Amino acid sequence: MLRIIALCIMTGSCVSLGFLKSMGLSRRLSQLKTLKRIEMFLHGEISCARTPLPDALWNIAGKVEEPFREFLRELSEDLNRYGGGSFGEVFAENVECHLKDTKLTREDRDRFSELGRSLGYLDKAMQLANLEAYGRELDMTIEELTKGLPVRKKLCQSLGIMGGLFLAILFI
Amino acid sequence: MRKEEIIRLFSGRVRLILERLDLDFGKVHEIRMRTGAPLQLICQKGEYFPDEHGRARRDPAQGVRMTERDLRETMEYIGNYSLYAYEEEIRQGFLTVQGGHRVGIAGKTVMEDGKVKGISHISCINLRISHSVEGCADLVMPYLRREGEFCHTLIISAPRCGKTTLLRDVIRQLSDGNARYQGLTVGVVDERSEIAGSYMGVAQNPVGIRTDVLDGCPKAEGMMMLIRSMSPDVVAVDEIGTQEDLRALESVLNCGCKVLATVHGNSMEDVRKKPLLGDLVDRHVFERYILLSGREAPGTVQAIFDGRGTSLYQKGVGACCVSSRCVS
Repeated sequence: MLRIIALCIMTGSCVSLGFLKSMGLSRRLSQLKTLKRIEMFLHGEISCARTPLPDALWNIAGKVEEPFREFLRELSEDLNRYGGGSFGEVFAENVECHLKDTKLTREDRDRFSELGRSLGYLDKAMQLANLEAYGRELDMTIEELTKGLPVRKKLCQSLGIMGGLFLAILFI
Repeated sequence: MRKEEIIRLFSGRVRLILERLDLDFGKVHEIRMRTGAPLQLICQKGEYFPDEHGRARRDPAQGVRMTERDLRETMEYIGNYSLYAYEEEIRQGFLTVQGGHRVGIAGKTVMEDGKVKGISHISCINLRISHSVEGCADLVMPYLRREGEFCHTLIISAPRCGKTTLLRDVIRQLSDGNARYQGLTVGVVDERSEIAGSYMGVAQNPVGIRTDVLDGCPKAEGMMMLIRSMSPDVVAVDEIGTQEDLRALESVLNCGCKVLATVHGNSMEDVRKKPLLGDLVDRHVFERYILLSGREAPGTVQAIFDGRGTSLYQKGVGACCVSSRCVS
């Protein structure tokens, strides 16, 4: 009896892992879309109102969900403290601190930090060009991810189920 | 709070020096940074060059020298990490920060089509600390009304003699009103953000409760915009001079609004010599002239004249004409 329970738990865990991984893929896509929204809002704040970055980030914070809201608010507060360091450095520190536990990959976060390093430098046209370049990269990533998402999700789920069954058979 | 508000704009190293400095920031007029030169503070009692330990020195050789990094970091803070947001201000050579303080910058100008597009390699920063002196217009206010009505007024002053400070306080007093006179709606065209010291559109200096400020707008355009949109009783502008300004001023006069303006000059003669402005003076368009002098202290009212040049007040003499027609 105990053996059957153990086998059920093991199989269930493997299946759950597969589903969790598949859900993580969907979450990454949704978080990349949030980054895209942030990019668009920032573009608007700079092109329409020439809002300084700390204020623009604070305004955008109210329009996005957690953990991005907290990230933007903390970043804006850190910048307003004038505690030293360039905009890029403060931006990268906050990305590491607040977005580390998201489903964004290391590469996604590095690319976002890279955007921070290029902001605040030179004129409005430069800011908009940087944002547009980042937006295009994001679009490509989102497109690739969206295309491959159903297959990858199915793969994760199937691997979870298959792995669970395989282990169950192995232990019988 | 005031000291903190100012020193937070400087780079970490300069901030430490200024924090240790034993000087009353209320008496500091300017803080100047130049790459390779000592940090300079200009106060009422002369200039100081703080050393590394924050001791105020008179000898420039003992002052702490500013590096390119100090200026770059300071510019990041002054520009709120967003110099693009101040492109137009930088093109003009200055920007206004929170608290209404004005930051002048100099460096290598970038030209495009024969016009200044911006300034790169900023090597000089001059923070002019905003001093609003509430009550400094108390002396002139009684002379600016005739039969209860505010007169078209021109403040004449050489640079750094306190004309903007006086203008600001006249605006405040007109706008707030008092027990005798109701407040007036004052429209201010603050082209260089010096009067209201607006930051993000909000006036940082006391300009009165009935004052509408059009910040960063060219004077000529701004005066007409205010008349169309805010229907002010009084339109106030600082440093009129160009032909466009004076034409717009005439339009304001024709709209029935009262004008309160300032102009650079040392005497009534200086103003009369100015091509278009002299014409307005000869036509007795302005009903009051306030002549300021910085000989004794900035903002000293030297004389007040009526539209025909009759002296209403002379420094050292006092009121020259006290009839109810002149002074109510």
